[in-house]
Amino acid sequence: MNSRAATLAAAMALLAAAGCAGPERHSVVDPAGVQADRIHGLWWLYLAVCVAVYVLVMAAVAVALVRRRGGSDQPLTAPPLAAEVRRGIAVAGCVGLTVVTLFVLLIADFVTGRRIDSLAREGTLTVRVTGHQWWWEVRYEESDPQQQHNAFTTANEIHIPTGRAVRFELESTDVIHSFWVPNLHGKTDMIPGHRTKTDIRADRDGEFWGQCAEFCGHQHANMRLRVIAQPEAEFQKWLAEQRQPARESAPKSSQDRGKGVFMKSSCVLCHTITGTQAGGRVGPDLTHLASRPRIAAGTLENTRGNLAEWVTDPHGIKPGVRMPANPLAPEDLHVLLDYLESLK
Amino acid sequence: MIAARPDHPAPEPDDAARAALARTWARAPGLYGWITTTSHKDIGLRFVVTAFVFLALGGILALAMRLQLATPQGRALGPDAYNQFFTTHGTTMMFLFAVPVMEGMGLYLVPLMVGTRNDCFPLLMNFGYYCYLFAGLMLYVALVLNTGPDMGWFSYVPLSGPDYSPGKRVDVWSQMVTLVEISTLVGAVEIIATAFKLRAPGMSLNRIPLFVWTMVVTSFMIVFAMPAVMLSSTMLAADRLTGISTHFYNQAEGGDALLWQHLFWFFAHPEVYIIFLPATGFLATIIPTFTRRTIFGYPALVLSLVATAFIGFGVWVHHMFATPLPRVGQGVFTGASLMIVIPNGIQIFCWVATLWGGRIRVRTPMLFVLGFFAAFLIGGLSGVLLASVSIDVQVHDTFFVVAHLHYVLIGGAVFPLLAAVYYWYPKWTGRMLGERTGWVVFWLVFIGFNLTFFPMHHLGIWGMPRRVYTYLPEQGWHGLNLVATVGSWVLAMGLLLLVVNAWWSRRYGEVAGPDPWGAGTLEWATESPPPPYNFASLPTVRGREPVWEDDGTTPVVTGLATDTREVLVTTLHDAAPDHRYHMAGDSVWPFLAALATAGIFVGLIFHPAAFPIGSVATGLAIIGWFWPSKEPEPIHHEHERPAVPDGGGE
Amino acid sequence: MTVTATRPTIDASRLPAEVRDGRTPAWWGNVLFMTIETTTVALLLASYFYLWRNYPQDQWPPPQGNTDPPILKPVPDLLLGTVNVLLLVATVPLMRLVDRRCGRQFDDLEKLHATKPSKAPPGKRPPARPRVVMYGMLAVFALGCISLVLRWHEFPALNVRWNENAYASLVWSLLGLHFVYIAIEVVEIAVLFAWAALFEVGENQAGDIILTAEYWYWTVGVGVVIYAVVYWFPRVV
Repeated sequence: MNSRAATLAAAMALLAAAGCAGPERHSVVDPAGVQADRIHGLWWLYLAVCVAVYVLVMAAVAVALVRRRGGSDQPLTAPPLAAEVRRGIAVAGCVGLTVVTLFVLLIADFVTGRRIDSLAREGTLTVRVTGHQWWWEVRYEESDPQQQHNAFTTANEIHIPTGRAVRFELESTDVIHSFWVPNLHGKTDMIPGHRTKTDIRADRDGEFWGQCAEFCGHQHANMRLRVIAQPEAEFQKWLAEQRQPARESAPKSSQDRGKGVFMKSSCVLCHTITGTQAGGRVGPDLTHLASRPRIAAGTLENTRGNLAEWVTDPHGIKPGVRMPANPLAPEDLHVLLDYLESLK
Repeated sequence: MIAARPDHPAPEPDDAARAALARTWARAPGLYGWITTTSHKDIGLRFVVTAFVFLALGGILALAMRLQLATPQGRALGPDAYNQFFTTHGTTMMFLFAVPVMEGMGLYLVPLMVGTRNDCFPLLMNFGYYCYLFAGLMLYVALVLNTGPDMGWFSYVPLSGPDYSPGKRVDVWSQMVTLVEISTLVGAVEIIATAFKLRAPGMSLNRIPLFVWTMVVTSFMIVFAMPAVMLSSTMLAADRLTGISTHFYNQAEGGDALLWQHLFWFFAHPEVYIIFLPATGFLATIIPTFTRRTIFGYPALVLSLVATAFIGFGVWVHHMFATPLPRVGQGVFTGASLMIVIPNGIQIFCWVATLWGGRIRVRTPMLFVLGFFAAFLIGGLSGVLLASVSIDVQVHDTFFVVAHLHYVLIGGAVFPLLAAVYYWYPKWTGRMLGERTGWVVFWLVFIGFNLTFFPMHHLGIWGMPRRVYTYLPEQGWHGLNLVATVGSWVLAMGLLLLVVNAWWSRRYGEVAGPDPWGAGTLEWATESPPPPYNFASLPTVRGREPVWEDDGTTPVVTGLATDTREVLVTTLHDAAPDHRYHMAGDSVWPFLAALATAGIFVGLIFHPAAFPIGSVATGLAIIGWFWPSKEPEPIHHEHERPAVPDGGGE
Repeated sequence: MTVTATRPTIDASRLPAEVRDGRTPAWWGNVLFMTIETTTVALLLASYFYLWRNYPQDQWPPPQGNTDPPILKPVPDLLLGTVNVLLLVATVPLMRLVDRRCGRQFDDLEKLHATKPSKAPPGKRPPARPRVVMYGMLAVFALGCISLVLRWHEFPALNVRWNENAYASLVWSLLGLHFVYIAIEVVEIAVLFAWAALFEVGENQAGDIILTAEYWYWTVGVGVVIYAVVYWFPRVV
């Protein structure tokens, strides 16, 4: 039927469009890493096969529709044997083709699976990512026992050197989360009580978004992640900056007064700022908060206005979030923001 | 209408016999009769209608969800409401709509198709319906009271455990699931026993209508799958109940969050085949009627059903590819998930071969069959993509899966269901649904469905995870989300039109007669709607399409009592007449037992003592149920087996 | 009531009105319910073995920390469980006697074309309440009650509270589920006994008792498997 063909054509056009356009920052079909790339190749193989099968079967239905109308209404309880046998052979042939095709797809999957698993681990970069409701704790480990002071913790943002494999060790302290950065690799669940891991290598520079991919409660939708792949030199520079304790504020400056507000409020119960007495481990590490372009697990841009809103009324932005509201006097809020903005 | 065979005379027992049968098999008058009925037609249709009510409720929740997702950072629903809505939507569709509607169709059609008067255990069937109704009420009363479950229909621990889901929301869900599965299991037992024991003489195994085969296979799947979710949800409830506080899923005390996933998916994967297989039965029944020929490949189709059922129990880990299970094990499940395409493919190829070998008539049921091909194939093929571990770890838990599941469930089960509604509505009510309205309904539903769900493939590939109540404008998902929302309204309009048409046609539709489509299976050999006793004289059969093959010389059964509810039991393999079976009459005890059972589960939401206390009440109701009553005794004669008509096999 | 037809007929009036075992729909219902429950038990056992795999080989059951002194491997005490399972197994031949006597009662009534003894001709009437059946059911009921009491005491003999850890939750659940099965069967036997005592053992009742006996054998069988897993598996692993 004409309308059926039209629908089919439209469907295929949409399908084709899938590969071409789209938000590249978090797209499965815009691979920036070796695993995502290999999966992407497999994806196109499977998709091509599936589209071909669809077209063939629908063509068979469509042709039957066109050619097999009319005739008597008298039902045929015993169709002529010769024709039935021919149809039987055709069906058997299709089944045979199906088996062969499935086998090819199975092998292709196995091969791809082995290739994306066997990512050699060059270099020693290990990043431990812990899922919390509803943010990501990111800890850069230091494998050399003499250099433990180089280990540091940040939140919601991961920097990796382009071209070098990174091992992510994944865990969760509360419910099941899932670590997923579509441009780089498939997802790996973070299950409390189980240590999982995934090796990733970015092959081009860029900023790639991830999002928690296992329903984890109220703010599952707003548990976003940024992975920034940088050339090695820039990455080392970033590492060095992050390893520093928090910037000292000049005495009597507004930042210093802001620090005072921070230390006297409930902030210290949940947040750590290295180099100060704030050592809370419940919420994200704020030592280098100002170096991060986004806050609230990727939900907001890190601007003064957003920060103000987030500090005073997080529930207006992410209802159900664990951070309590902090109604502050305007003067206190002002200096606190100065302090937070100084934590580069 | 397709010309019915004008020359097949129906058997003609006299009026006095019919009147006696009508009195014996009719239900009591008034509300009491409505509550206590054990007619499979009453209860089967009640399941179907109730299921469609739940479809509407679940659909309204979905429309609200779509409204929220139409724009980035929408304000239609906050996260708490959204989480309750999507959980209740999934729970409703899977537990309260899809399986019960198939069971209802089975309870209605199987006795008619096998040529008997009622399902095997009439009181059990009545009990099953009320358990289902009460379970559904439990869920929606809770939702209205803001205690709806909010952790997803799959309820993963630890999120659904005592630490991260305080309150009673998860408990409502766990108890409701166990209660509704009692109903489903009861229906399965009913259908297996009826199909095995009450078939018309001559209906040997290779002459059983394909729909009956699918219901039998589905029922066996239910027997093995449902206990898994009942067990797992009871264990979850036990972990959560104060005073019980077991540790099945508590990692800190030796439990395992993955145990929940294994038990749940061991149930939930077969569950989708439980939903899909009856739909294949509809197709295997409707396609022959509208191609004017017997189905192609009957033995292959039956074997495919059985193969699908077996393999269906061996693929559950493909829902867990993102978890740290050993790669080798995952590979096995990829293999099995690809393998299940084979029996599925066999079915599709046989149906297409039937189209090629027949003379196609496109009426509304056939339109939905064609829509099934177009839609289910997409769903099945996106499933092939998901079977690959490597691809799955990218698109798992994204809108790609939402697209896949709706293409297989709506395309693969709802479209055949709508075909079935158009096909059997005349039998249920004696009236036709309008053909022209049918075309409008089809196109609204088909277009609306594709508009809603096709873009979701893209959204998933572009990184949109599932179960998110909102997203940011800069993520680039708003365009397609808006399209999907508009599509949902079109789909809703189509379904609404169907409901309106069904309601209107009861009074004003064209009168149907016994066999408006010229079909071949036994339900069309009696009036529309069938009298309470289905057939005045129980038929015998000589082939797979009894109404088509009947030339007036096929014997009928006589000698069954007309003053008590007596049917004929035949042997399992060849359906040789074996004995007369006296069916229980209407009773209020199953309703009371269902009330007591529901009471146990509602009580268990709050306190473990509900189990011993409620069990006593249920026990008393069951004793009342089975206590012998003053029914007239069946009449005994000199025993002598009558001859079997026209020898068993083909 | 005559029925005229325009086609040949098969007269079903000569067929028996009562049959037993696999010919009846009720037998199928019984078997299907047993299958459902077997699946439930099997899945609970699978959960037991699944969680066992999470532990180091020799730490099953897991050490009991909150007693004084702590118990390294708190295996269940053998005595009560063993006595109970032996008791249950002993009821099987008893139940078999009841089962077979009911079968004979059924066949005798069939030969006389009577649905119950009171409907049979006086000279050849089978006993209304065969002694083997009545005393047999009473005995199984009594032993079943003792089994329930024993089971009640088996729980503390597990040496762990149900909410200690996952192992404890599982073994309590296994014994608890089986407790429910025994309890349901015991009540069913009591009801059938009362029925037979108040009325008589006709074909219908004989058939029901046979089905109950089959369910009883199943219950005992499941009990043996659960006993082996709960009491012996930790000792041999």
